[in-house]
Amino acid sequence: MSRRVRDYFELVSPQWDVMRKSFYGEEVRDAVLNAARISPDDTVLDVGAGTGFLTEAAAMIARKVIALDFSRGMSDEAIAKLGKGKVEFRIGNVERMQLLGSSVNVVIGNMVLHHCPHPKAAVAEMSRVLKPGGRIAFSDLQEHTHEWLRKEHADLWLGFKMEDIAAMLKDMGLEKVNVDALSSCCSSTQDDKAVKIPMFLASAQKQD
Amino acid sequence: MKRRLMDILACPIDKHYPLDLHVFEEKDEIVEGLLVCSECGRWYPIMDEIPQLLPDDLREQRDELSWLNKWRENAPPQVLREGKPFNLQLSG
Repeated sequence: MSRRVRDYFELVSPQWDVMRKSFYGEEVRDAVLNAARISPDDTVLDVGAGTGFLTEAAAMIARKVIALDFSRGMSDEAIAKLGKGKVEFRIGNVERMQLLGSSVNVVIGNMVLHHCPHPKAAVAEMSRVLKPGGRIAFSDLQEHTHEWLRKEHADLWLGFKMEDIAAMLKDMGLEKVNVDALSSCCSSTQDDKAVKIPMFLASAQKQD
Repeated sequence: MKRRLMDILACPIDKHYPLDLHVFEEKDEIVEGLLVCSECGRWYPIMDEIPQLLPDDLREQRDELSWLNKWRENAPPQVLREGKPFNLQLSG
């Protein structure tokens, strides 16, 4: 399943930034970064970093950003755009991460979980790599009924119930769990009709 | 890949740490090299400065073996013969 999703992103990588702008705007990035409370001393991990939507903004604040993505095509787009100054690019899968436990201060992500065959495994991995006291913040789609997104954009899950995401984070032993609706929606078109899918923002902290 | 990255790099499958590093080409960063997990025997390429540590089902056997073959003089014989999830011996 992951392979199909990865193949989709390899294919769309040259056009991704244009596509992304049609889906959602910079306010999503601001919301995730605000919730992550990144400080200049932090090492930040961006999961499913893609072409660097969150990476770019995080690198303006943090000491170091690790950009993890399973698509070399998406990562190469990000490298061409952002360079490697503060960013370390890695090819890997969020459900089976190559990082030592307790190795980063912050984990951020956007629109990743609905592409994961096992979202809970992904959240467990995000929690594992966090240092004690570290923060996690990510955005994704709220539960919806647009089946066509599975085929059109390689979505594996039709969004998530916000309470399920909160339960997932609490099950990992994370504290200060917050899952709230975002004011922005993900816009797309189906049969020339505009479709708007509500998004959520989740944040939590690992026990100190 | 910067050498100090080794400090937080583990095998994505069994989380073994540290991984063995074999450098084939180095400039400011490691350009080409090999990471090996001594626990499960998996090898992972560093291609064009980027480490690629994917689970088995997301790896491209043909591309990665042709890359490994290119570096066969530099890679440890054990990886060439018995490396997981695939090796030059198996590919015949």
